[in-house]
This record gives sequence, C-alpha cells and structure tokens, in this order.
Amino acid sequence: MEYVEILRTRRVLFWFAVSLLATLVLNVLSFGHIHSDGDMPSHGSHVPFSAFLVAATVISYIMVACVAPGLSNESNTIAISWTRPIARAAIAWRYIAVDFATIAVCFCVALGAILLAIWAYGFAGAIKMDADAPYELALGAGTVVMWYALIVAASARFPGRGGMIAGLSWGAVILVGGMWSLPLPWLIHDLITALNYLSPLAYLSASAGDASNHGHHAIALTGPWLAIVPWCIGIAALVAGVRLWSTREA
Amino acid sequence: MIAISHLSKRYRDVVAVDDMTLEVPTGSVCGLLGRNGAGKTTAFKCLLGFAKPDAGEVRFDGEPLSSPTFAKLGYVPERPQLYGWLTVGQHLDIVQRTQPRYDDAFARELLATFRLDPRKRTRKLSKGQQAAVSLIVAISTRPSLLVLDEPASGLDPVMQRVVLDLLIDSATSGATILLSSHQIGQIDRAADRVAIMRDGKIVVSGNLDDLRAASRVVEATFAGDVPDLGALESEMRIERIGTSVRAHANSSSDAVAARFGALGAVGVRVLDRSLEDIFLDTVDDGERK
Repeated sequence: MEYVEILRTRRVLFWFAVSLLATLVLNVLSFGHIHSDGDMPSHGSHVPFSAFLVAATVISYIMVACVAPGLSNESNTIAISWTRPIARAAIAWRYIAVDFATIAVCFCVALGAILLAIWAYGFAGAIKMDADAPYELALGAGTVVMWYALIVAASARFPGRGGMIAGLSWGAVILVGGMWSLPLPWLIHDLITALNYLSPLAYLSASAGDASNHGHHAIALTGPWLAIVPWCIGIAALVAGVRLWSTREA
Repeated sequence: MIAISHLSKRYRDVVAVDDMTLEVPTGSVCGLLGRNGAGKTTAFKCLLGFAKPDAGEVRFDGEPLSSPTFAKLGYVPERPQLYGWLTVGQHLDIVQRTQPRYDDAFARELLATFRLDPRKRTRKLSKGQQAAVSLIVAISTRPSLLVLDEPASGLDPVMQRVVLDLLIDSATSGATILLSSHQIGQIDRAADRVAIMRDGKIVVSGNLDDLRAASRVVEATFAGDVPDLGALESEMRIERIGTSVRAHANSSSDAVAARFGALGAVGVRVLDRSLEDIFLDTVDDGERK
C-alpha cells in the first residue's frame, strides 16, 4: 500500500517543511536583530561541511520517528492492505522504500535549510569541504537505516503500537547514552554498553570523538567499522521486521 | 467454489474453530450463523490467511490461498477498516492502483446508490456509511469470491436491502459468497445455503430449503387431555401446550401426522419452520447438552 504511505509521508513532509521554514525565519530574524549594529563575529575559523551533514542527520532522526510506525499502524486496515494481490513482504518493502525516500528528502531539505541559514548569517565563506564528509554521510545514513529498522522490527508484532515504540525509542536512546558514563555494576554497565550499539546517537558521538570522554566511547569501533556496523544492524533488523510483520496473525 | 476442510484453530486452551468442513458451490450464497464467540470471525481470518490454522485447508476455486487469489476475492470485515484521514475517493484510488479488476463506473454507481460523497474523509462518516465504503472497496472489483463478516451491520433497513440485493445480483452473476450475520432475516433473504456454528463446530449445514423441509413441526390438537404418545416421546422432541402437542418431526412429518390422527387428534397441522427456529433450536440443543 505504498500509495497510502506516499500520501501519509507527503503530509508529514509538508508539516516538517513548514516547521523548518518557521524555525529558519525566526532564527535569521533574531540573528539580524541581535547583530543589527554590525557587531558580527570573527570570520577567522572554518566550519567543516561534515558538521552540517551530522546536523542534518540528527534532524532526519525526527522524520524516522514519524514515518517508521506507518507499517505497524497498517494493522488497523488489513482488510484493505492484506487483501491486495501482492505478497505481504512486497507490500512491506514498498512501504519501506517510500519511507527511505521521504527521509532522504527530509535530509536534503534540512541540509539545505542549514546552509541557507549559514548563508543568511553571512558565514558562507567559513564552510570548508573536508575529507570526512563522505564518511559522515555513510555513517549518518547507516544510523538512520538502523534506527528506522529497529522501530519497524520492534513494532512488527505490536500492531498499532508503532507510534508509542518510536516515542519510547527516543527516551531509550537518551537513557542508555546517559547511563553509560555512570558508575554502575559491571553487568549492568556491560548491558548498557551493548545497548549503545543500537543507539544512533552513540555512533555519532563516537565519530565526533567527544573530548570530554577522553576518547572513551560506549562503542569501541573506529574507522570504517563505525559506519559499517549500523548498516549491518539496520539491514538485519529490516529483514527481521519485514518477516515478523508479514507473517504475524491479525 | 470455497472449500473448507477440517479447519481447526486454537488459541491456547480455547478451541476457536474445531474441525470445520464446509463447501460453498460456485454461484451460491452461504450464510454462516452462530452466537457471539461461535468462531465465525476466526474462521474467516483463517480463510483469508490473517490467522494460521492449526489444521485443515481452504481452497478457492480449487487453489489454496495465495496473493493472486485476492485479485478475485473481496472481503468485508466485521468492523469497517478504513484510513480515517483519507477520503472516500482516495480509498477507491487505492483499489484502482492495486486491483486489476477494479471497475470505476461500478464503484461510482455504488457511491451514488449509498449517497456517499467521494470528497469526504471516512472518519467523518457515520458507522453505516463507513460500512458502505467498506463494502464498495470489496465489491468494486466485481469479485468472483466474496467473504463478508456482518456486511450490513450499522446500515439502515433501506441500505441493508440494497446490500442484500447486491449480493444476490453478484451470486446470480456467478460469484460465490460466504457471509455471516446475526440478522437471520438477512440470511433468510439472501442465502440459499446455511451453516450454523456452535463452539467452533459446524453443527448444521446444507441447502436452506432442504433444512426447512427436514425440520418440520407437527401440531396436533386433542379434544380432551393429550393421550399417552407412546414411542413418539422418545423419538423426537415433544412440547405440550394445554390440549395441543408440538412434535419436532423433522423429515418424518407426514408419518407423525398420521400417528397423531390415529391417536384421536381433532386437528393436525404440519408447519414449515423458519430459519430463526432452526437456528434457535440448534443453539438451544447445544446449551442443553
């Protein structure tokens, strides 16, 4: 029922674009007001382009939480969606394709909005294309796929609970990220460490090399593995999610 | 043809469908009756692959259920399952995009019959109108197999009549229809075959006219007290009402009428029984047992 998902995501994208535009306009206006006396910050430093990719990725996570519950919510309309002459797994994959296209559009719109804001601030010249950009793009896309897939898999056998699971996933990600640095018994600490491998923010944090952690991160992966592992988890979770969804009983 | 053989479905300790065997011949309308919880909806879910049966099989026109079967199969659920945020017209668009046999002219005709505005969101419709949309979604492809779970639920009497006429027309055109309803009058009007479910089992099934013929009641009136009925008492169910006796003679009605005559009855009548009587007797028998 990709047609339904196209209609649904079109609506989500519209409100996303409106919200983003409003934020952008307010931001630019307030910036102009604050610096109306010409007291602009110094332009000496450069901002790497990969930082904007990371920012757009984080904004895309919002879209992931909005579109990922769609498949689970189809449980309310199986009289329509499961009575089409198409295999259920094919229905699910088409749904997922629409969702990924939506997230990609969201990412591009978010990146465009950020760059537009930078240009409006007058810092366009400070943006520097860095060698990490392709890597950050691959890593960010991997974490998006992983989080989307985990929500799909977790909600596949809980019909109509996709929205709740997507909401809880935000809380879970923040919780496991925060708990990792606490002095906990080793068993719990190891469990939290393992859960961090399912957290997209943990991968971004590891990639950023947060100085406050003195190079220690919940995820003990470096280099290409940091980008490859979320893709692998994501693809495995997607396959499992589609299988669970298409074989569940109504 | 819809052929269900030895279908069973259990949910933990509850047997929802128990060794159900039923055949609905091509062009026939079969009404599935049963009390709430008898297993009708679970049987439909197994039929359509929404639930996995523990045993048995279902064949549509000789083939087991697969994705292509749904190109010729329409299903109306017990409660309308619609996208509340989509319009009636968008629901038809969904069918048009996914069903090769979608007939747009027929769908528009049905919208007019049910007085539905295609621009209206389905969540703004009444329960009866939602049931009508659900029905249009199912039959706008002119399916040759139709499975309907309480299709006229929530509709006003005029629209109920329209739905039944549509089903009869479809069957006349060769469609095979299996429908459940609590409104026995609807089944009586639309169906030529009936199956009654009790505790997950099909306890009565067959051609409606045959069932009626096989379940006649002989009513005898005596001038004074009812005499000793002898072996009749043990052969069939007997009801005594004052000086009258009602014998559930089933297919032996003529013989029983003759025996009442021999016992001195002053008046003997053979009564055809309604589907409602047959249903209530079947359900009552089960509860007595």
